Amino acid sequence: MNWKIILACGLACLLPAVVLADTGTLTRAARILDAPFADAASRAELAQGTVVEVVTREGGWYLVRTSDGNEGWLRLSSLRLGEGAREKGASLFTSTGRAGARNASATTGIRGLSETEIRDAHADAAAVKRLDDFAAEDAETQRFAAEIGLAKRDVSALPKDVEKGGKR
Amino acid sequence: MNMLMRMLLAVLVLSLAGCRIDLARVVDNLGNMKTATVGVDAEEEAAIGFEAAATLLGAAPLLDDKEMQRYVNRVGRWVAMQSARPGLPWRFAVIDHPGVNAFAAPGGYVFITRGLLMQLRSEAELAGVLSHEIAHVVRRHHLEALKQQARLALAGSALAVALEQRGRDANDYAWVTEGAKTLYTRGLDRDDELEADRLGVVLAARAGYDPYGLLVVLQRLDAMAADDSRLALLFKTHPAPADRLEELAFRMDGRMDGLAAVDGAERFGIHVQRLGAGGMMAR
Repeated sequence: MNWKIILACGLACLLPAVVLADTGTLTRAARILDAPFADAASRAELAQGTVVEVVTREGGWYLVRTSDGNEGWLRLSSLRLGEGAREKGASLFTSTGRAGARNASATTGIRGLSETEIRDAHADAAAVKRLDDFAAEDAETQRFAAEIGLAKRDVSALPKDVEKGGKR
Repeated sequence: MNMLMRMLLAVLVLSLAGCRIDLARVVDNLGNMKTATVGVDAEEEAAIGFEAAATLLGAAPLLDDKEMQRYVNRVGRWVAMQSARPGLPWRFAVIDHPGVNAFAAPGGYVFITRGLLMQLRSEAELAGVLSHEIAHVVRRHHLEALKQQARLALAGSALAVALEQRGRDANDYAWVTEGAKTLYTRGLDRDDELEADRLGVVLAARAGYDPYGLLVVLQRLDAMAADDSRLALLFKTHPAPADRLEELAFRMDGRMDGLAAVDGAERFGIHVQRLGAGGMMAR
Protein backbone atom coordinates (compact mmCIF):
# COMPACT_ATOMS: atom_id res chain seq x y z
CA MET A 1 0.00 0.00 0.00
CA ASN A 2 1.38 3.39 -0.78
CA TRP A 3 0.73 6.33 1.52
CA LYS A 4 -1.84 8.01 -0.75
CA ILE A 5 -4.11 4.99 -0.57
CA ILE A 6 -3.59 4.82 3.17
CA LEU A 7 -4.50 8.48 3.52
CA ALA A 8 -7.56 8.10 1.31
CA CYS A 9 -8.75 5.14 3.38
CA GLY A 10 -8.21 7.14 6.53
CA LEU A 11 -10.19 10.10 5.28
CA ALA A 12 -13.01 7.90 4.03
CA CYS A 13 -13.20 6.26 7.44
CA LEU A 14 -13.56 9.61 9.12
CA LEU A 15 -16.06 11.05 6.69
CA PRO A 16 -19.43 9.70 7.91
CA ALA A 17 -18.87 10.80 11.49
CA VAL A 18 -18.18 14.34 10.32
CA VAL A 19 -21.04 14.60 7.85
CA LEU A 20 -23.71 13.27 10.21
CA ALA A 21 -22.69 15.26 13.22
CA ASP A 22 -25.47 17.70 13.86
CA THR A 23 -28.70 17.00 12.02
CA GLY A 24 -31.55 14.70 12.92
CA THR A 25 -34.96 13.75 11.56
CA LEU A 26 -37.96 12.89 13.72
CA THR A 27 -39.03 9.29 13.23
CA ARG A 28 -42.40 10.07 14.79
CA ALA A 29 -44.41 13.09 15.87
CA ALA A 30 -43.17 14.26 19.27
CA ARG A 31 -43.34 17.13 21.70
CA ILE A 32 -40.18 19.04 22.57
CA LEU A 33 -39.89 19.72 26.28
CA ASP A 34 -38.54 22.37 28.63
CA ALA A 35 -36.12 19.96 30.28
CA PRO A 36 -34.77 16.43 29.76
CA PHE A 37 -37.49 14.78 31.87
CA ALA A 38 -40.63 12.98 30.79
CA ASP A 39 -42.85 15.23 32.94
CA ALA A 40 -41.28 18.53 31.85
CA ALA A 41 -43.53 21.16 30.23
CA SER A 42 -44.12 20.91 26.51
CA ARG A 43 -42.85 23.70 24.26
CA ALA A 44 -44.03 22.58 20.84
CA GLU A 45 -45.29 19.61 18.88
CA LEU A 46 -43.09 18.55 15.98
CA ALA A 47 -44.35 16.50 13.08
CA GLN A 48 -42.80 13.26 11.93
CA GLY A 49 -40.06 14.02 9.42
CA THR A 50 -39.15 17.39 10.91
CA VAL A 51 -35.46 18.06 10.41
CA VAL A 52 -33.76 19.50 13.47
CA GLU A 53 -30.33 20.61 14.53
CA VAL A 54 -28.95 18.56 17.42
CA VAL A 55 -27.47 20.95 19.97
CA THR A 56 -26.41 18.53 22.68
CA ARG A 57 -27.32 15.30 24.46
CA GLU A 58 -28.00 14.59 28.08
CA GLY A 59 -28.52 10.93 28.86
CA GLY A 60 -31.41 9.67 26.76
CA TRP A 61 -32.40 13.17 25.61
CA TYR A 62 -31.32 15.46 22.78
CA LEU A 63 -31.65 19.22 22.90
CA VAL A 64 -32.79 20.11 19.39
CA ARG A 65 -33.50 23.31 17.44
CA THR A 66 -35.91 23.61 14.54
CA SER A 67 -35.42 25.83 11.50
CA ASP A 68 -38.06 28.25 12.85
CA GLY A 69 -36.17 28.69 16.10
CA ASN A 70 -38.04 26.30 18.42
CA GLU A 71 -35.76 24.62 20.89
CA GLY A 72 -36.45 21.82 23.33
CA TRP A 73 -35.64 18.35 24.61
CA LEU A 74 -36.54 15.22 22.70
CA ARG A 75 -36.16 11.52 23.53
CA LEU A 76 -33.11 10.02 21.84
CA SER A 77 -35.21 7.30 20.25
CA SER A 78 -37.52 9.80 18.52
CA LEU A 79 -34.69 10.92 16.29
CA ARG A 80 -32.78 9.44 13.42
CA LEU A 81 -29.43 11.08 12.84
CA GLY A 82 -28.96 12.59 9.39
CA GLU A 83 -31.29 14.42 7.09
CA GLY A 84 -33.94 12.91 4.85
CA ALA A 85 -33.92 9.48 3.26
CA ARG A 86 -30.51 7.83 3.40
CA GLU A 87 -31.01 5.01 1.00
CA LYS A 88 -32.71 4.63 -2.31
CA GLY A 89 -36.20 3.21 -2.04
CA ALA A 90 -36.13 2.85 1.74
CA SER A 91 -38.80 4.50 3.81
CA LEU A 92 -37.23 6.64 6.46
CA PHE A 93 -40.04 6.14 8.88
CA THR A 94 -40.44 2.41 9.15
CA SER A 95 -38.75 1.96 12.48
CA THR A 96 -38.78 -1.81 12.18
CA GLY A 97 -37.76 -4.18 9.44
CA ARG A 98 -35.30 -2.11 7.54
CA ALA A 99 -34.78 -4.96 5.14
CA GLY A 100 -32.57 -2.86 2.91
CA ALA A 101 -29.83 -2.84 5.48
CA ARG A 102 -29.80 -6.60 5.69
CA ASN A 103 -29.09 -6.95 2.01
CA ALA A 104 -26.30 -4.45 2.12
CA SER A 105 -24.01 -4.98 -0.84
CA ALA A 106 -20.42 -4.05 -1.27
CA THR A 107 -20.47 -0.94 -3.40
CA THR A 108 -17.95 1.34 -1.79
CA GLY A 109 -14.22 1.10 -2.17
CA ILE A 110 -13.35 -0.19 1.29
CA ARG A 111 -14.11 -3.75 2.19
CA GLY A 112 -15.50 -4.67 5.56
CA LEU A 113 -14.16 -7.57 7.60
CA SER A 114 -15.91 -9.69 5.07
CA GLU A 115 -17.29 -13.18 5.08
CA THR A 116 -14.59 -14.17 2.63
CA GLU A 117 -11.83 -12.95 4.89
CA ILE A 118 -13.24 -14.95 7.80
CA ARG A 119 -13.86 -18.05 5.68
CA ASP A 120 -10.30 -17.97 4.34
CA ALA A 121 -8.74 -17.31 7.74
CA HIS A 122 -5.98 -19.54 9.08
CA ALA A 123 -6.14 -19.60 12.86
CA ASP A 124 -3.41 -17.39 14.31
CA ALA A 125 -2.65 -18.82 17.76
CA ALA A 126 0.42 -16.62 18.22
CA ALA A 127 -1.74 -13.50 17.92
CA VAL A 128 -4.04 -14.75 20.68
CA LYS A 129 -1.04 -15.33 22.95
CA ARG A 130 0.12 -11.77 22.28
CA LEU A 131 -3.11 -10.54 23.89
CA ASP A 132 -1.59 -11.37 27.28
CA ASP A 133 0.79 -8.43 26.82
CA PHE A 134 -2.10 -5.96 26.75
CA ALA A 135 -4.24 -7.44 29.54
CA ALA A 136 -5.19 -5.20 32.46
CA GLU A 137 -4.96 -6.18 36.13
CA ASP A 138 -7.77 -5.40 38.55
CA ALA A 139 -5.76 -2.91 40.64
CA GLU A 140 -4.55 -0.78 37.71
CA THR A 141 -8.04 -0.95 36.22
CA GLN A 142 -9.52 0.47 39.41
CA ARG A 143 -7.03 3.35 39.36
CA PHE A 144 -7.78 3.93 35.69
CA ALA A 145 -11.51 4.12 36.42
CA ALA A 146 -11.03 6.50 39.35
CA GLU A 147 -9.00 8.87 37.13
CA ILE A 148 -12.16 10.10 35.46
CA GLY A 149 -14.49 9.57 38.39
CA LEU A 150 -15.94 6.22 37.39
CA ALA A 151 -17.36 4.36 40.37
CA LYS A 152 -19.36 1.17 40.40
CA ARG A 153 -23.00 1.42 41.39
CA ASP A 154 -26.10 -0.70 41.69
CA VAL A 155 -28.30 -0.67 38.61
CA SER A 156 -31.20 -3.11 38.26
CA ALA A 157 -31.41 -5.39 35.28
CA LEU A 158 -33.74 -4.32 32.49
CA PRO A 159 -36.99 -6.24 32.19
CA LYS A 160 -36.82 -9.58 30.34
CA ASP A 161 -33.32 -9.98 31.60
CA VAL A 162 -31.90 -11.26 34.84
CA GLU A 163 -28.15 -11.40 35.00
CA LYS A 164 -27.02 -14.88 35.93
CA GLY A 165 -23.85 -16.76 35.35
CA GLY A 166 -25.15 -17.95 32.00
CA LYS A 167 -27.47 -20.61 30.72
CA ARG A 168 -26.78 -24.13 31.80
CA MET B 1 -28.04 -70.27 68.21
CA ASN B 2 -26.15 -67.77 70.29
CA MET B 3 -23.15 -68.32 68.10
CA LEU B 4 -25.21 -67.76 65.00
CA MET B 5 -26.64 -64.51 66.38
CA ARG B 6 -23.13 -63.29 67.14
CA MET B 7 -21.95 -64.16 63.70
CA LEU B 8 -24.91 -62.41 62.13
CA LEU B 9 -24.31 -59.38 64.29
CA ALA B 10 -20.65 -59.33 63.37
CA VAL B 11 -21.53 -59.53 59.69
CA LEU B 12 -24.05 -56.75 60.09
CA VAL B 13 -21.59 -54.48 61.89
CA LEU B 14 -18.91 -55.22 59.36
CA SER B 15 -21.20 -54.56 56.44
CA LEU B 16 -22.44 -51.35 58.02
CA ALA B 17 -18.87 -50.28 58.59
CA GLY B 18 -18.20 -51.17 55.00
CA CYS B 19 -21.19 -49.13 53.97
CA ARG B 20 -19.91 -46.19 55.90
CA ILE B 21 -16.58 -46.37 54.18
CA ASP B 22 -18.18 -46.79 50.79
CA LEU B 23 -20.59 -43.95 51.39
CA ALA B 24 -17.75 -41.73 52.44
CA ARG B 25 -15.91 -42.64 49.29
CA VAL B 26 -18.97 -42.12 47.17
CA VAL B 27 -19.57 -38.69 48.66
CA ASP B 28 -15.92 -37.89 48.21
CA ASN B 29 -15.94 -39.03 44.63
CA LEU B 30 -19.09 -37.09 43.89
CA GLY B 31 -17.33 -34.02 45.21
CA ASN B 32 -14.35 -34.69 42.99
CA MET B 33 -16.58 -35.31 40.04
CA LYS B 34 -18.31 -32.01 40.57
CA THR B 35 -15.00 -30.18 40.82
CA ALA B 36 -13.74 -32.00 37.78
CA THR B 37 -16.85 -31.14 35.80
CA VAL B 38 -16.62 -27.44 36.64
CA GLY B 39 -12.90 -27.52 35.88
CA VAL B 40 -13.40 -29.22 32.54
CA ASP B 41 -16.15 -26.77 31.65
CA ALA B 42 -13.94 -23.78 32.32
CA GLU B 43 -11.02 -25.42 30.56
CA GLU B 44 -13.18 -26.33 27.60
CA GLU B 45 -14.62 -22.83 27.37
CA ALA B 46 -11.12 -21.36 27.44
CA ALA B 47 -9.89 -23.78 24.75
CA ILE B 48 -12.89 -23.18 22.50
CA GLY B 49 -12.53 -19.43 23.01
CA PHE B 50 -8.85 -19.57 22.16
CA GLU B 51 -9.56 -21.28 18.83
CA ALA B 52 -12.40 -18.93 17.98
CA ALA B 53 -10.21 -15.92 18.80
CA ALA B 54 -7.36 -17.38 16.73
CA THR B 55 -9.75 -17.73 13.80
CA LEU B 56 -10.79 -14.07 13.99
CA LEU B 57 -7.20 -12.92 14.34
CA GLY B 58 -6.37 -15.06 11.33
CA ALA B 59 -8.82 -12.96 9.31
CA ALA B 60 -7.30 -9.63 10.31
CA PRO B 61 -4.26 -8.70 12.40
CA LEU B 62 -4.06 -6.97 15.75
CA LEU B 63 -3.62 -3.22 15.65
CA ASP B 64 0.08 -2.59 16.16
CA ASP B 65 -0.35 0.00 18.91
CA LYS B 66 0.31 -1.24 22.42
CA GLU B 67 -0.93 1.93 24.15
CA MET B 68 -4.27 1.72 22.35
CA GLN B 69 -4.58 -1.99 23.13
CA ARG B 70 -3.87 -1.34 26.80
CA TYR B 71 -6.41 1.47 26.89
CA VAL B 72 -9.15 -0.73 25.43
CA ASN B 73 -8.24 -3.48 27.91
CA ARG B 74 -8.65 -1.15 30.87
CA VAL B 75 -12.03 0.12 29.71
CA GLY B 76 -13.20 -3.42 28.98
CA ARG B 77 -11.86 -4.90 32.17
CA TRP B 78 -13.53 -2.20 34.27
CA VAL B 79 -16.89 -3.07 32.75
CA ALA B 80 -16.25 -6.82 32.97
CA MET B 81 -15.45 -6.43 36.68
CA GLN B 82 -19.09 -5.38 37.17
CA SER B 83 -20.38 -8.52 35.43
CA ALA B 84 -21.33 -11.92 36.82
CA ARG B 85 -17.99 -13.30 35.61
CA PRO B 86 -15.37 -10.85 36.84
CA GLY B 87 -12.77 -13.57 37.31
CA LEU B 88 -12.46 -14.63 33.66
CA PRO B 89 -9.11 -13.95 32.00
CA TRP B 90 -10.62 -11.07 30.00
CA ARG B 91 -8.70 -10.12 26.86
CA PHE B 92 -9.69 -7.13 24.75
CA ALA B 93 -8.12 -6.11 21.47
CA VAL B 94 -8.41 -3.77 18.52
CA ILE B 95 -8.33 -5.57 15.17
CA ASP B 96 -6.56 -3.60 12.47
CA HIS B 97 -9.35 -3.50 9.93
CA PRO B 98 -11.48 -0.69 8.44
CA GLY B 99 -14.66 -2.78 8.70
CA VAL B 100 -17.13 -1.64 11.37
CA ASN B 101 -17.73 -4.49 13.79
CA ALA B 102 -17.05 -6.05 17.18
CA PHE B 103 -16.80 -9.69 18.19
CA ALA B 104 -16.73 -11.86 21.28
CA ALA B 105 -15.34 -15.34 21.81
CA PRO B 106 -15.95 -17.71 24.74
CA GLY B 107 -13.82 -17.42 27.83
CA GLY B 108 -13.42 -13.64 27.83
CA TYR B 109 -12.19 -12.52 24.39
CA VAL B 110 -13.60 -9.26 23.02
CA PHE B 111 -12.54 -7.61 19.77
CA ILE B 112 -13.38 -4.28 18.18
CA THR B 113 -12.26 -3.25 14.71
CA ARG B 114 -10.32 -0.05 14.10
CA GLY B 115 -13.18 0.90 11.75
CA LEU B 116 -15.74 0.84 14.57
CA LEU B 117 -13.39 2.46 17.05
CA MET B 118 -13.02 5.42 14.71
CA GLN B 119 -16.79 5.91 14.60
CA LEU B 120 -16.89 6.41 18.37
CA ARG B 121 -16.62 9.71 20.19
CA SER B 122 -16.33 8.90 23.86
CA GLU B 123 -15.17 6.27 26.31
CA ALA B 124 -18.81 5.70 27.26
CA GLU B 125 -19.54 4.74 23.65
CA LEU B 126 -16.54 2.39 23.65
CA ALA B 127 -17.75 0.95 26.96
CA GLY B 128 -21.20 0.49 25.40
CA VAL B 129 -19.80 -1.53 22.50
CA LEU B 130 -17.52 -3.61 24.74
CA SER B 131 -20.36 -4.17 27.22
CA HIS B 132 -22.50 -5.74 24.52
CA GLU B 133 -19.66 -8.17 23.72
CA ILE B 134 -18.93 -8.79 27.42
CA ALA B 135 -22.60 -9.69 27.83
CA HIS B 136 -22.27 -12.32 25.08
CA VAL B 137 -19.39 -13.89 27.02
CA VAL B 138 -21.16 -13.65 30.38
CA ARG B 139 -24.21 -15.42 28.96
CA ARG B 140 -22.06 -17.93 27.02
CA HIS B 141 -23.90 -17.16 23.77
CA HIS B 142 -21.07 -18.13 21.43
CA LEU B 143 -20.08 -21.14 23.52
CA GLU B 144 -23.61 -22.55 23.42
CA ALA B 145 -23.99 -21.75 19.73
CA LEU B 146 -20.70 -23.43 18.84
CA LYS B 147 -21.53 -26.55 20.85
CA GLN B 148 -25.01 -26.68 19.37
CA GLN B 149 -23.59 -26.28 15.89
CA ALA B 150 -21.11 -29.08 16.51
CA ARG B 151 -23.90 -31.39 17.69
CA LEU B 152 -26.08 -30.62 14.67
CA ALA B 153 -23.24 -30.89 12.22
CA LEU B 154 -22.22 -34.36 13.33
CA ALA B 155 -24.32 -35.83 10.56
CA GLY B 156 -21.66 -35.39 7.94
CA SER B 157 -20.12 -32.01 7.27
CA ALA B 158 -16.61 -30.68 7.48
CA LEU B 159 -17.24 -30.34 11.18
CA ALA B 160 -17.91 -34.04 11.56
CA VAL B 161 -14.58 -34.81 9.96
CA ALA B 162 -12.91 -32.32 12.22
CA LEU B 163 -14.62 -33.83 15.24
CA GLU B 164 -13.43 -37.30 14.24
CA GLN B 165 -9.92 -35.98 14.06
CA ARG B 166 -10.48 -34.51 17.48
CA GLY B 167 -11.14 -38.02 18.76
CA ARG B 168 -7.47 -38.81 18.38
CA ASP B 169 -6.57 -36.09 20.82
CA ALA B 170 -9.08 -34.94 23.40
CA ASN B 171 -7.30 -31.61 23.75
CA ASP B 172 -7.49 -30.75 20.08
CA TYR B 173 -10.06 -28.03 19.53
CA ALA B 174 -9.28 -27.48 15.85
CA TRP B 175 -12.92 -28.34 15.09
CA VAL B 176 -13.86 -24.98 16.58
CA THR B 177 -12.30 -23.15 13.64
CA GLU B 178 -14.96 -24.30 11.18
CA GLY B 179 -17.75 -23.62 13.65
CA ALA B 180 -16.40 -20.17 14.46
CA LYS B 181 -16.23 -19.26 10.78
CA THR B 182 -19.86 -20.20 10.35
CA LEU B 183 -20.92 -18.43 13.54
CA TYR B 184 -19.07 -15.18 12.83
CA THR B 185 -20.41 -14.97 9.30
CA ARG B 186 -24.01 -15.99 10.10
CA GLY B 187 -24.40 -14.42 13.49
CA LEU B 188 -26.09 -15.44 16.72
CA ASP B 189 -29.82 -15.67 17.30
CA ARG B 190 -31.68 -12.40 17.34
CA ASP B 191 -32.71 -12.99 20.96
CA ASP B 192 -29.07 -13.39 22.00
CA GLU B 193 -28.23 -10.07 20.38
CA LEU B 194 -31.10 -8.24 22.05
CA GLU B 195 -30.22 -9.81 25.39
CA ALA B 196 -26.60 -8.68 24.99
CA ASP B 197 -27.86 -5.17 24.27
CA ARG B 198 -29.97 -5.09 27.44
CA LEU B 199 -27.32 -6.60 29.68
CA GLY B 200 -24.62 -4.47 28.04
CA VAL B 201 -26.41 -1.24 28.85
CA VAL B 202 -26.78 -2.33 32.47
CA LEU B 203 -23.11 -3.33 32.78
CA ALA B 204 -21.94 0.01 31.37
CA ALA B 205 -24.27 1.81 33.79
CA ARG B 206 -22.97 -0.27 36.74
CA ALA B 207 -19.44 0.74 35.74
CA GLY B 208 -20.47 4.39 36.06
CA TYR B 209 -20.56 5.20 32.36
CA ASP B 210 -23.28 7.06 30.51
CA PRO B 211 -25.69 4.15 29.88
CA TYR B 212 -26.70 5.64 26.54
CA GLY B 213 -23.30 5.01 24.95
CA LEU B 214 -24.44 1.90 23.10
CA LEU B 215 -27.67 3.56 21.96
CA VAL B 216 -25.81 6.50 20.48
CA VAL B 217 -23.49 4.14 18.62
CA LEU B 218 -26.47 2.23 17.23
CA GLN B 219 -28.01 5.51 16.17
CA ARG B 220 -24.84 6.51 14.37
CA LEU B 221 -24.59 3.11 12.63
CA ASP B 222 -28.20 3.47 11.58
CA ALA B 223 -27.39 6.80 9.99
CA MET B 224 -24.56 5.34 7.93
CA ALA B 225 -25.48 4.30 4.42
CA ALA B 226 -26.84 0.77 4.34
CA ASP B 227 -24.75 -0.08 1.29
CA ASP B 228 -21.53 0.93 3.00
CA SER B 229 -19.51 -2.25 2.63
CA ARG B 230 -17.71 -1.62 5.90
CA LEU B 231 -21.02 -2.42 7.60
CA ALA B 232 -22.01 -5.39 5.48
CA LEU B 233 -21.07 -8.14 7.93
CA LEU B 234 -22.37 -6.27 10.98
CA PHE B 235 -25.72 -5.69 9.28
CA LYS B 236 -25.88 -9.29 8.10
CA THR B 237 -25.17 -10.78 11.52
CA HIS B 238 -27.18 -8.43 13.74
CA PRO B 239 -30.72 -7.09 13.86
CA ALA B 240 -30.95 -3.65 12.18
CA PRO B 241 -29.49 -0.91 14.43
CA ALA B 242 -32.81 0.98 14.37
CA ASP B 243 -34.62 -2.11 15.67
CA ARG B 244 -32.06 -2.64 18.42
CA LEU B 245 -32.32 1.01 19.39
CA GLU B 246 -36.09 0.87 19.48
CA GLU B 247 -36.04 -2.29 21.59
CA LEU B 248 -33.52 -0.85 24.06
CA ALA B 249 -35.32 2.47 24.38
CA PHE B 250 -38.52 0.55 25.07
CA ARG B 251 -36.91 -1.61 27.79
CA MET B 252 -35.07 1.31 29.37
CA ASP B 253 -38.17 3.48 29.31
CA GLY B 254 -36.44 6.37 31.02
CA ARG B 255 -35.44 4.30 34.04
CA MET B 256 -31.81 5.38 33.64
CA ASP B 257 -32.64 9.06 33.21
CA GLY B 258 -31.54 10.04 36.68
CA LEU B 259 -28.15 8.31 36.62
CA ALA B 260 -25.04 10.43 36.74
CA ALA B 261 -23.07 9.70 33.62
CA VAL B 262 -19.34 9.82 32.93
CA ASP B 263 -18.64 9.95 29.21
CA GLY B 264 -14.84 10.14 29.25
CA ALA B 265 -14.81 11.92 25.89
CA GLU B 266 -11.56 13.71 26.65
CA ARG B 267 -9.54 10.64 27.58
CA PHE B 268 -11.02 8.78 24.63
CA GLY B 269 -10.14 11.64 22.28
CA ILE B 270 -6.51 11.61 23.33
CA HIS B 271 -6.22 7.91 22.50
CA VAL B 272 -8.15 7.94 19.27
CA GLN B 273 -6.29 10.95 17.93
CA ARG B 274 -3.20 8.79 18.21
CA LEU B 275 -5.01 6.06 16.35
CA GLY B 276 -6.04 8.39 13.55
CA ALA B 277 -2.44 9.27 12.84
CA GLY B 278 -0.39 6.40 14.23
CA GLY B 279 -2.76 3.58 13.45
CA MET B 280 -2.91 4.44 9.79
CA MET B 281 0.80 4.93 9.41
CA ALA B 282 1.52 1.64 11.11
CA ARG B 283 0.09 -0.33 8.22
